[in-house]
Parts: sequence; structure tokens; C-alpha cells
Amino acid sequence: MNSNRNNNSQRGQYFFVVRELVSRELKRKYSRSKLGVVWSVLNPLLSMAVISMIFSAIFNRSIENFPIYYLTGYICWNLFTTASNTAMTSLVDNKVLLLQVKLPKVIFPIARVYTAFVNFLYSLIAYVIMLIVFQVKPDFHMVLFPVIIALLVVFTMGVSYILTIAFAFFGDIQHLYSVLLTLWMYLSALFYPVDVLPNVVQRIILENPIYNYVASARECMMYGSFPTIDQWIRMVVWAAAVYGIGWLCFKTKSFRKYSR
Amino acid sequence: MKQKNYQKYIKRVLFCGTGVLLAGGLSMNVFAAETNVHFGSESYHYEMETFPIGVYVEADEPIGTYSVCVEYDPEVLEYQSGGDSYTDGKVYIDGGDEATSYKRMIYFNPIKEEATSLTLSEIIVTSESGERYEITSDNPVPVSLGEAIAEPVKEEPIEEPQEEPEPQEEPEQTVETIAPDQSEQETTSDPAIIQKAKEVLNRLPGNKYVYVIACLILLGVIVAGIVIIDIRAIRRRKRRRQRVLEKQKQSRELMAGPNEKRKNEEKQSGKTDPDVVISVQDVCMYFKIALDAADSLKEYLIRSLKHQNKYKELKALDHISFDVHQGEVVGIIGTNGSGKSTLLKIVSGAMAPTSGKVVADKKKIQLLTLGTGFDRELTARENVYLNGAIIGYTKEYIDEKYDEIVKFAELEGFMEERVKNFSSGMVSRLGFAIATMRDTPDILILDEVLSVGDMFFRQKSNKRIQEMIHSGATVLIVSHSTDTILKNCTKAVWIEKGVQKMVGDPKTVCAAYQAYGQGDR
Repeated sequence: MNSNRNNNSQRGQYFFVVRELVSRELKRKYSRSKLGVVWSVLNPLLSMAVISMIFSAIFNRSIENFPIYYLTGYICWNLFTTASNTAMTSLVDNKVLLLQVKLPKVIFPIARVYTAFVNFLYSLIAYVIMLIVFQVKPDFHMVLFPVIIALLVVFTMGVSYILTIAFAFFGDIQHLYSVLLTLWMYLSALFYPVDVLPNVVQRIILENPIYNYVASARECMMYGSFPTIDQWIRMVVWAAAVYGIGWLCFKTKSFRKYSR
Repeated sequence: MKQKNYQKYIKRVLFCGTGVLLAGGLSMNVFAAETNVHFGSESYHYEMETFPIGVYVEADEPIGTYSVCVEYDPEVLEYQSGGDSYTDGKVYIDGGDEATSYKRMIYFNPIKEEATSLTLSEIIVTSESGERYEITSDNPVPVSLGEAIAEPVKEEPIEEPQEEPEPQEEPEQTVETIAPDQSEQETTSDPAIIQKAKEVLNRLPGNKYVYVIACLILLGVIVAGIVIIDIRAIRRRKRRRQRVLEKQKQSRELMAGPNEKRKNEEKQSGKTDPDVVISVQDVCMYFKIALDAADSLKEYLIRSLKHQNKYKELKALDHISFDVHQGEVVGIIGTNGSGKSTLLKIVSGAMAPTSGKVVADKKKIQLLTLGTGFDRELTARENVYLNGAIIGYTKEYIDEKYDEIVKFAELEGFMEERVKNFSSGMVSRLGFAIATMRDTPDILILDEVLSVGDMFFRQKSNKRIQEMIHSGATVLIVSHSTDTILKNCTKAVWIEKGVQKMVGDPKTVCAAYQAYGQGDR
């Protein structure tokens, strides 16, 4: 391309690449299914149905509106796991591209996170439907939901950077991470009330970043109140710190090329 | 290469971890010893009214079923509710649904003002897996009623409001006749009850959570291990690279004549000749290849313990040096697997060499390979946009050139078809059309793109490449066909098995290459 191309249009070009990569991921994901992208909406709904059926019997007395309680957590959690899991392998999957094209490597994890985010937007359709079905009243606190999601995305991005770099150098991370995710999920209070747990575990859960995002999202979507200042601090600090670390990882590590 | 090292260490760490977990898991079988059945207080004192007595069944593991008999003196106390009483003097409580602790309240009415005592007997607890345990409990608990204070009595801890049974309580409980607490028993979402539940859970022996914490610590250890291993491996690699560099320096100083020496100094001081656009300086690329790689974990462990994991160093490129001047068309020739493509990747900056360096303006270099980022699941049209975006075209540019690309690739009418249904010729035609539909870059690197498609398409593509070459670009061509090199190049580099055999005029180099090939076969 022209060498006198300025920075701005280059960024535009990168955005175009990311968009093309995202559309590829999405098309690929559903290329063999009849319903295609409808699955992005159906999946959270079905999962909600199953989990609600099983757990509402156990917790329904302590959680009002269990399906919404679960769904709020589930879509946030799903955004995080899908993004970090797919972004982790992005550099290795696109190894051929990396070796031949001069693109900033960050583009690949970003594209994967973006894909997960688009998927999340689809699942929001399901979420809104469920909010209407369960007659959750609109409330001005809901305005905060996008802010919380934005912070979650930043956090996810940071985790994805770290994982991507770690995976490029050390393939076993993938398996280790899947175990860690299971533990993490159970510590995120997706389908149970935190109150039933003993103090030690409660403390851990309160410090869990994902739980903070999920709890804040519930706070403003279900209970019509602001997240506490503590929660805001945790959310912002986690997002900023993890993103910073991830970015540093990328900056310092990516100059080393992959010899395998 | 270094990944093998990681594996070795991580496997060790994982083994230790599993061992710890297994050891932890074994101790969990001690069930009966950890089971405890007792009253809520060590002694009771009541005025003349109905009063509750709490019986606690607690264990470290989920309890399958339990059955406890509370013996009382029927002449002093009258059994009210909370269990099953078949004979005077004995109240049975039973239940169990795999929780680890139960609290049952039994209600008595006093008959006389007298001191008496309650005893636990016939305690039978089965574990989740069905094993049966008989448990002996503490001594009788004294109960004093009214004025008759028989023994020093402690403050009764089980006062009415907190006296609530847990939410998992048996339904029989709700049939009690005691009025004051009934309403509260049913509203389980009451914060006081959650508080109570928390308290009950907190009273459990803490070692259940030791496992959670142990798991966390284990994960921490693993992560720390990875970090340490990572650092070690990187250091090792650095050291090795340094060693290689030193060796090279030494050998160069020994071998090089005065002329060569001057040239080397020139090179090391950077780009001195303004005409030189690419300067490949003593590039080496080594790959580590495991000799008879272990194919099972067991084998791997045995080998790594015996230090038998052997590696062979594959010299993909061994001390390659040449310069490319502005406007030159340089052909790189060599048999398959002699390191040509590796060299191009290093020149274009996609790989870092083990030692040596390449001086070139990486921004100006365009590596042209076919079907970069083609996705077989997508249609041809989608691929044009994807591929174009990756190569660096803007959306508007692709929109503008789209028809031209389709026409050049001769794929009219196939563009909505998925690429996986294309023939390989069609794919490469499309790839070529996209890749060459651009303003010629300053430095163009072509990796085997000149042998694409059928004869007619090849003529067309050759023409286009010629145009690019003649527009003044510096071109680097990789090929194993001497024809291509002879036709296009002004200079040729012959690499054989990673060793630079010859640099110079294409005719002489190709002749030597052909002679070598024929002599070999």
C-alpha cells in the first residue's frame, strides 16, 4: 500500500480487517447449521430453561426470579469464557497468516473477543425477551448495564491477551485453563445465592472479578439499584489492571517470533 | 524445541499435585470418627412451660440417614412434638438427605419441678455410600425445671428467635403445636434465618474448605512453575544464541581474508551502501527436532528421567549472506526443503533468525503468497474481502477492484460458491488475482506464485508479474524452476540444504545447479 498512508486510515484499515475476521468467525461458526445465528439466541434460552428447572427447586425461596438471576450471570459469563477461550488460540490458529502478513498481532485476539461480543449482543435478544416475559420493570438504573459490560469486555480483553501470549509459548495452558474455568465458574455464583456459602468462600467470591461484574449487572437490571462503590472500584481496577498487564505481555513478548 | 522442556516440568508438577489430592481424598474415608451427635447445650434450665431441646447431628461428610433416640424421664417431662415417640421415655428422630449437619428440635412439657436429665442413645448414622456406623455420644445432659436447680446451669444459648431449624428441615417439623415460631419457620428468605444458616455452616469443622484452598494453592504452584520454567527456558535460549554468535565471530575472524573482513565490518556497521535495499547478513536458522519422539506419557517420563530425550539440530539455514540492490530481481533457487521459504520468512520479518540479521525496510516489503487466509467454508466473494483486508486493501479499494479481480481470475458466476467446492486451480487463480491487484510495492517477495493455473492463466500471470518487475520494484523470487529464474532474474542465489552454494549471475548459477542436480541423480 502507499507508504504515505497516515495513522488514522491505517487504524481504519485494521478495523476493517477485524470486521472481516469477525464475519468470518461468525459465518464459520454456524456454517453447517440450518438455524445459523439463531442459535446465539436459542442457546442462552435453552441453558436458562435447563438450569432453572434443576436449581430453582433448590434456591427458589432465597432467589426471586431465578431464571433472570441465572440468565444475567450466564450471558456475562459466556461472553467472558467464549472470548478468552477462542482468543487464546487465535495466534496459533492464524499462524500461517502471521508468517505472511504484516498485521499487528493484537488484531487476532481482538477479532476473537469481538466475535464473542457480537454473539453476546445476539444473546441480549434472548435476555430482553426474558425480561419482558418475567415482567421486570424498566428502570433508569438499567442505563448502567452497558457501562458494566464495557468494563467486562476490557477485562476480558486483558485476560485474552495474557492467555494468547501464554498459549503461543506454552500449549498446555489450554487444558489448564479449562480446569481453571470450571473452578472459576463455581466461584462466580452464577446459579446460587452467595449467602448460603460459608464466610471463607464468600470472601473469595467477593474478590472474584467476574462475580463483581455479574453482581453489578444483576444489581442494575434486576434490583433497580446502583452497584456499591466497592463494586465499582473492583470492576474498574480489575479491568484496568488486567488490561494493562495483558497489553504489556503483548508488547514485550510479541517481538519474539514463533519458531515452531 | 523449548516446549519439550516445559512439558517435562509441568508433568512433574502435575504429578505432585495429583499425589497431594489423592492423599487428601483418602483421608476423607474416615467418617464415623468425625461424626458427632450432641445436644445444643450442656445443661438446661426451664421455667414451667413448653421448651425445646436441640439435637445436632454433624459430620464431615454428607450423611445418608441418621436415627437418634433421646431418652427422658417420663415422670418429670412430657413429650410434646419434634420426633416420634412410641413408648414413654424415648423419642426417636430420624432423617437424612445428604447434608452434613442436622439440627432437630424436640419439645417437652415439664410435669414436675425437678431436676432430670436427657440422654442420647441408639445413634445410627449411615454415610452417603451406605456404610453404617453406631456412635456413642456424650454423657447425659442435666435439665432443671423451675426452682429445682440441681447443677450449675449455663445460660441457655438456644433462645427462641434464633432457634429456627434450617431450611432443609423435615416437613414433620411444621406440624408442631408450638405457635410462636411457626410463622418464622416457613419464611425461609428471612435474613435472620439465612444468618442462622450461615452460623450453622460456620460451626462445621473447617477442613472441608481446606480442599478448596488446597486446589487454589495447587493452581498457584502450577502457574508459578510455568513462569519459572518460562524464564529458565528463555534464558537458556539466550545463552545458546550468544554462544552461537560468539562462535561465528571467532570463526569469521579466523577464516576471513582481509577483503572479506572489510566487507563484514561494513555490513555490521549497518546499511552503508544506499543502493542496498535488503542485506542478509550471516543468517542462521536452527530447528531442534526430537529424535524418535516419545509417544506416550509414560515413555516420556521414563525418558526424561533417564535424560534420553535426544534432539537433533536441523540447520535450515547456515550462514547465508547476500545483498539485494535497488531494482534488482533476485531469484532464490534450490531443491525442495533447502530452506528457501524459511529465508523469505526471515527476510519479510515473520520469523527471527537464530543468529545473524537482515537489514531491510520492513514496511516496504510485500510478501506475496497465494490464498493467504483463505477460508474454505466461506464463499469466494467473502474470501476476496477477507483476503484483501488481510493483505491491506481498504474496503473501498476492494469494492472498486472487485469486478476486475473476478474477471482476471476467470471466476464469473462462481463467486457465491463456497471455496471448498473449488478446484485447486480455481483457488490459486483467485489468490493470484487478489494478491496482484495492487500498486506495486517497493520490495516484492514472490513465493512460488509463478506456476499457478493452466497454461493460459500462467501466461497471463507471468505477464502481470513482468509488469510489476518492470515498474522498478525490487523483487525476490523463490522457485525451484530454473526457467523462471533465467527468464526474470538479474541475480541468483542457490541454497542447498541450508548452505549457500553460489551467488551471482543467473546463468552460471542455474548451470551449476542443474549440473549438481544431474550429478546427484
